[in-house]
Amino acid sequence: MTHQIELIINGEHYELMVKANKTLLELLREDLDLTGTKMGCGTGDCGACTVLLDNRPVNACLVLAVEARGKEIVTIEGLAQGETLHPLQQAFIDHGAVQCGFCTPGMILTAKALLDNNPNPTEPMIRRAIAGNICRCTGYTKIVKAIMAVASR
Amino acid sequence: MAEYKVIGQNLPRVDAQDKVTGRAKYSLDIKLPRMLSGRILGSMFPHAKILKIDASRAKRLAGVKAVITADDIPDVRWGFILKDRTILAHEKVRYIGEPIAAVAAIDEETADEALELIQIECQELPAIFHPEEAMAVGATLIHEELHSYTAMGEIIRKNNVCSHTVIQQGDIETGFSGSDEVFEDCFTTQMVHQCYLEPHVAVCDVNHSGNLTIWTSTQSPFFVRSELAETLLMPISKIKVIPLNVGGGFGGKFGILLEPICALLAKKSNRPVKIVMTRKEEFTTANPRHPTIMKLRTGVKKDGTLVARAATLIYDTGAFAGMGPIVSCNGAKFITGPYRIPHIMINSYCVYTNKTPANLCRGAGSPQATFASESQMDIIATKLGIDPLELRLKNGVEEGDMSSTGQVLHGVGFKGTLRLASQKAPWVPHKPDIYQGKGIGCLQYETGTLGSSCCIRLNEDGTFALIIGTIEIGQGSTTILRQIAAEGLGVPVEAVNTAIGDTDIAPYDMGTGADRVTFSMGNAVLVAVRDMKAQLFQIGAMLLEANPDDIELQDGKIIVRGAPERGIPLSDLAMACHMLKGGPILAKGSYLAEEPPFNTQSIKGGFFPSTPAPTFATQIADLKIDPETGQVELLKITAAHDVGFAINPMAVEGQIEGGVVMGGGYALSEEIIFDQGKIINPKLADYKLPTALDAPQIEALIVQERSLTGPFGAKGVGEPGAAPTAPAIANAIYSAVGVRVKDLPITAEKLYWALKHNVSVQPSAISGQQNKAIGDRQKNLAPDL
Ligand code: FES
Ligand code: FES
Repeated sequence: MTHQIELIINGEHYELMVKANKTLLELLREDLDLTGTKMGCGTGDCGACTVLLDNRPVNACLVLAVEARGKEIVTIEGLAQGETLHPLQQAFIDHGAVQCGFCTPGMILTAKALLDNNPNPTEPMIRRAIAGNICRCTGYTKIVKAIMAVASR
Repeated sequence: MAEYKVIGQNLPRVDAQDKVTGRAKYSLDIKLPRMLSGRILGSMFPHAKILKIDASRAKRLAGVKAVITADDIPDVRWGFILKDRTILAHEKVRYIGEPIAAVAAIDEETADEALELIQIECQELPAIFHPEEAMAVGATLIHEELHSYTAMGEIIRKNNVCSHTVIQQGDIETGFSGSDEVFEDCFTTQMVHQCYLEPHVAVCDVNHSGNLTIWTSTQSPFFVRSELAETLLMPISKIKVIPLNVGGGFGGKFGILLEPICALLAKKSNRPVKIVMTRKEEFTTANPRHPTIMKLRTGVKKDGTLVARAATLIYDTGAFAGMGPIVSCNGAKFITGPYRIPHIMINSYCVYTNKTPANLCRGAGSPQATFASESQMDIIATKLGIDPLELRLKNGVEEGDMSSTGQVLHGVGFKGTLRLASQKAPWVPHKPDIYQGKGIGCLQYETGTLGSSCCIRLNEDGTFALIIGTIEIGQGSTTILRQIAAEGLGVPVEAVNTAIGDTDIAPYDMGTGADRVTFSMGNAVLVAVRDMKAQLFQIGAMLLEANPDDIELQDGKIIVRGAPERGIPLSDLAMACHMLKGGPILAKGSYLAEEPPFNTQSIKGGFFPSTPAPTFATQIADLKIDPETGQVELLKITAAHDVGFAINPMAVEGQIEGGVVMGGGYALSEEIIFDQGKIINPKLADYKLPTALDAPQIEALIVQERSLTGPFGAKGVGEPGAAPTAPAIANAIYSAVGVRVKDLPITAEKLYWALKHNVSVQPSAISGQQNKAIGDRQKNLAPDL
């Protein structure tokens, strides 16, 4: 059974036919080749697939594509303004918060949602916000520092 | 370090821009026209004879393009140390999840449906889940033909023991009779998974002439190529492995796993095939860390001088050996810790059971041994009334001391790590608060085995391409090797571009693992730099009509020493070269560390008995315990690591910090739990990885006791981060509440139980099926072979 949906992804308007059981993650990665959004588990346990759905971070593997009907989605590909990186992207580079990079897109989007809501979070608030995003490489130290650096601006 | 311009600096990673914008490509992102999805059918039984496989219904399902079973594939056994396994189960299955058949179909759903149509008739065999039962006389054999398997080196094997390593120094009986006190303890550790965030992925495409191209999430493309050639009976020249970014590895992606199955499906279907492992398959089939049972007997003088250590170590390798024999040998090598112990007698066994095959996992055998050895150090310190730091300072190795295999150690920064960590933590002998404690864990590890090679090419614009086959799994090698090359060439870092080539193009490298890349490939880069300079000077001398000995490279120009005004820019030289000599300037460098001398009588049935560069670490854990629940809260880990020389300090810190959190998970929460050979928590949510809330504050400290042979004195740092953390935590728990837990992980439940009964936790005293099993196993340790 397929459904027609309209949605906005990274500012662009899309009209798509999707199967009822297709996840937003599959739609992004497989149909639209937006592979910046990663898949680490497919079961909502790792946060690698985090995207913003009407400015809220969600695990795209747990959202059906049809649920995104009429909504606005931001993926990692939509964050930089042309050549200019988003401050969080730059901070992740400068603070060494990226290693294998597989958690990075989801982590940055979760951090963006936090800072958009609360520009001055404390360190515990940051840690709580990113607790659903697993990073196996960095030990989180430099990720937290990078987010703090943007928050304190 | 003012003497250097490029190394020793926190340069940002070259791959970071692509990673923060989502442009970085991983194997998971590969999509080819007409690509099929592959799925694998795993065994339902831990140990069974395969009587019949009927895949006819699966083959008839619409959308299915290929089905393979053992009948469709070459009858070849493979394995790094011991050739004990086949690509798909043949005649027998040996663990739950062992691949039996595979399907390629137009999508994953269809492939999954097809798997359900494959009928397998099996006759169950008695299964063995505990390594000591496997070692018992008369135990069912998991590999009846163990003795006929081809093996690398002289491994000692018998029945279900696939490898036995013995390390011996001095005379153990003399050692014990000369001791004032003898300590006996048994420690056990659990199976854990690397849990890299990108699952195993392989994409295979076979062209008309039978050439195979493969994109795979691997740490070792050249290994993948040679193991594929071996298992598929194909010439190496027909296989190309294309490197991409890898979303973490930690040892779990060394060598083949999905690749041969994917290649066979691609061949059979005549279409590209992609297989992505599910998390469940990751846990059930993909290379976890060996669970262990470790019994230590240590003799000491009253003043704390270590005199003798006997140890029996059992590494449960599951159904196949994999790298297990190296792992259990590492346990034997490092069970003596970074200490002088004149009399030692170590037996380490790598034992088959009917469980998931264990393999390499960050530290390859050392985290287990380090947990046992460092926990016992504190038990000794407590009993003798000596401060744990003092005990370590008293016995710690220094320059010129010997390793467990009799290698004379150089570049020994151990005490530097002890002093720095204890000063920064800070280490205070009194307890900061009730239910709060501090503990130390120390480590000796190794760096720099196996060979690497690379090329450097001068581009037409005077910049350089560093051509390597070294895989970036997140550790930063692409950036660090570029820094080494730029420093050596005397050019700005921007003048060097690291090009990671596929296996057709790049020179051979043994792979990213064993803490070897910075050391071995770094050295290979320096060899290539020397070659490049020699060639540049030769041509420069010709153009400048001077003696090559008088030529220098300065500010991007070739000059005659003392006369910079007559210099030739490298770009001109590059072009001149194409005119004069008819070709690019292409330099090559290879490096294979010499094996340092050791006492050849000291070790039997082992691997890598000496190390090109020893590494050392001290970590101090600071934690708090909630007495109501037994929950441990990590406050801070102070981690001082001797890295020889930090080529990129920020990257070094990143390795230490990531290691510490992984070590914290190992200590407190992570565990793959089996029930009758079946994993009951094969899901990230149930496995309990540390999140940002569990991670402590980490102070990463760099000690630089240069290695005599490392590039600019550098040693490896990727693996040691995760090893000293668990004993530091266990020791801190003891200092906090006076309870000694000898079994990992130290879950809240376990600690609560111990606190309630006010006893130290011997593995046998713990409730729960898994732990009861461990306890039962402890009764009868290691019968003689
Ligand atoms: S892939 Fe969605 S949470 Fe892991
Ligand atoms: S950088 Fe590898 S998982 Fe976060």
